[in-house]
Amino acid sequence: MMEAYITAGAIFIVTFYAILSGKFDRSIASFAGAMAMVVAGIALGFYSQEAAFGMIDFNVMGLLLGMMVIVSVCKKTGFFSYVAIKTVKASGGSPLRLMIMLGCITAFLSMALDNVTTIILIIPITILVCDILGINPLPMIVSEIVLSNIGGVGTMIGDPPNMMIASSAGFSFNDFIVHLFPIVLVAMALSFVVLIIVFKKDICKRPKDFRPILDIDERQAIKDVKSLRKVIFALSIVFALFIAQKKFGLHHSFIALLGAGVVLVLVRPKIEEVIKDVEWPVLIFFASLFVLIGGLEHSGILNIIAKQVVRLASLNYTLAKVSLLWISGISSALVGAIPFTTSMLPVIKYVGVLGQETGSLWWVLALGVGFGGCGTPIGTMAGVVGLSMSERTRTPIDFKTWLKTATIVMLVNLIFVTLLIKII
Amino acid sequence: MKVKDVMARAIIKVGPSTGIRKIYDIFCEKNISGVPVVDGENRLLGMVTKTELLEVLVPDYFDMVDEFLFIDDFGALEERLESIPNLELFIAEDLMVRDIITINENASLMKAPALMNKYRIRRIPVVDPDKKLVGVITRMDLCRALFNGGLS
Repeated sequence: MMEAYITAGAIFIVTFYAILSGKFDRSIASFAGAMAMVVAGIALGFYSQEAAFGMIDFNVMGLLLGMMVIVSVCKKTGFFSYVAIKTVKASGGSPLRLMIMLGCITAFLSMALDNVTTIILIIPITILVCDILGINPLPMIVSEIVLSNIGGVGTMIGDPPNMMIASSAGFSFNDFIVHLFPIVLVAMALSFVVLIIVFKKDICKRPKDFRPILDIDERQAIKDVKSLRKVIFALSIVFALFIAQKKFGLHHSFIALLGAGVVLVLVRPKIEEVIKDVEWPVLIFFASLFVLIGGLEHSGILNIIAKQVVRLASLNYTLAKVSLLWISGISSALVGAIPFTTSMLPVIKYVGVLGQETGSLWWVLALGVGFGGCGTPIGTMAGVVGLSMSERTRTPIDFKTWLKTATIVMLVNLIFVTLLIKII
Repeated sequence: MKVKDVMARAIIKVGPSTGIRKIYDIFCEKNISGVPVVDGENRLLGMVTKTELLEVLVPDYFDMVDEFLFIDDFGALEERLESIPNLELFIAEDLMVRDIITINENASLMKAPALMNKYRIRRIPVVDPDKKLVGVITRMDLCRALFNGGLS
């Protein structure tokens, strides 16, 4: 037993170090770790090939794959530029309103679509529009990154951690709307308060000339109206099925893949291009993490941790929830939301097996990792990508700006959830 | 026929610290649109063309923007045409493309048009086996070889 603990623990730590050091590609590092775990497991008898395969949550993989296919077709339609221009026009040229409106749009898009895609499509057009207006794009970019992270927490399909939690805990799309969506709306408002205070100087300067923006016909941004209508139709089916999920007993992955199928049949894009757009490295990263953490679970280490959690929970449930919230938040900021959530899933599951009520622990985990992701630029992929994009402007996001905005937003939101902890 | 039989030997080149205005002046005077950059020992470092001169004008992030065909009025960005801060401070080293296609002087001449088509380039710096710049071969040189039966 002891050998299994030490070997599995060592492989886990080395793999996490490799993922976080940035020296290796995270997909390759996690894949290598997963393979090492299976080899060690077979040799020491704590893990088998069948068990490893069984650890991959295909409900999550299918959900990710399906949404990636839908997004791949959607992003080629020019829809994001259309939305961005429309928003800028509606802001009437006030940078304050622009920051809030672009933040809200990014948050709502991130609830339905993948955060990184949203960031990649919305930030460049934002910088361009700000340059046309002659205003500083920095507050808008920060607002988009932060709100993309926060918005994603609000729905089941907004963030990969939520997808994993839904699958492990058996929560439906509507459960997330009931439990997380209202909290996220308040968190969004709190984030804007922080952003407004930090950027108050930049956002009170009105642009000299708003006319160039009014002259843009945003409808021309849409390259393919027919495809866009079809994508929106497919997305409506997906959302309708998610809402009616419990009634029909449908799996998350099935709904997303069905939506992907509808998009592919209706739009009939070049399949090679869609396949290329699917983020295979992300899927490999997920599958590898599942296998890696599965090995840790089978070795028995996670059960020991789970027992400690249960002991704490039976002494003081509120304290246990608060600890989970802050540990999740800080770990997610430091090691990334996805690796931390994958590690916590089996722990909380086992806590449930030991007879402890886990419903609210899942929600606390989702809120912790979701809001924690803002803490550092490496907490989420949206942060990593957004930061590197901002480095190509004249006012890149530096460490101090991140600390003053996103990190404070994380703290404020975690404090807010702490105050609510009894009713979660 | 070899590349060295057709290439232009009397070529204009600049050093890494040549200023942007000097490069512009060379383009105007000699009516050329690209110049190789070499170090003190005549080793090829890179190439500056009109594309690189114009790149100074275009903000860094532009290649990330999905599409801007539908935007006609660039508003405040327009001011860049009138004055780029520090324009005169740019030197060949900052502007040049480093990762460039070269051709060996002893290579068969057919390789030149093949490279131009594959990499969509107009001129190829010619180097000797020591990687030192010995000439440049342009599309015009190739046309001359094609229509005048090579050596004129």
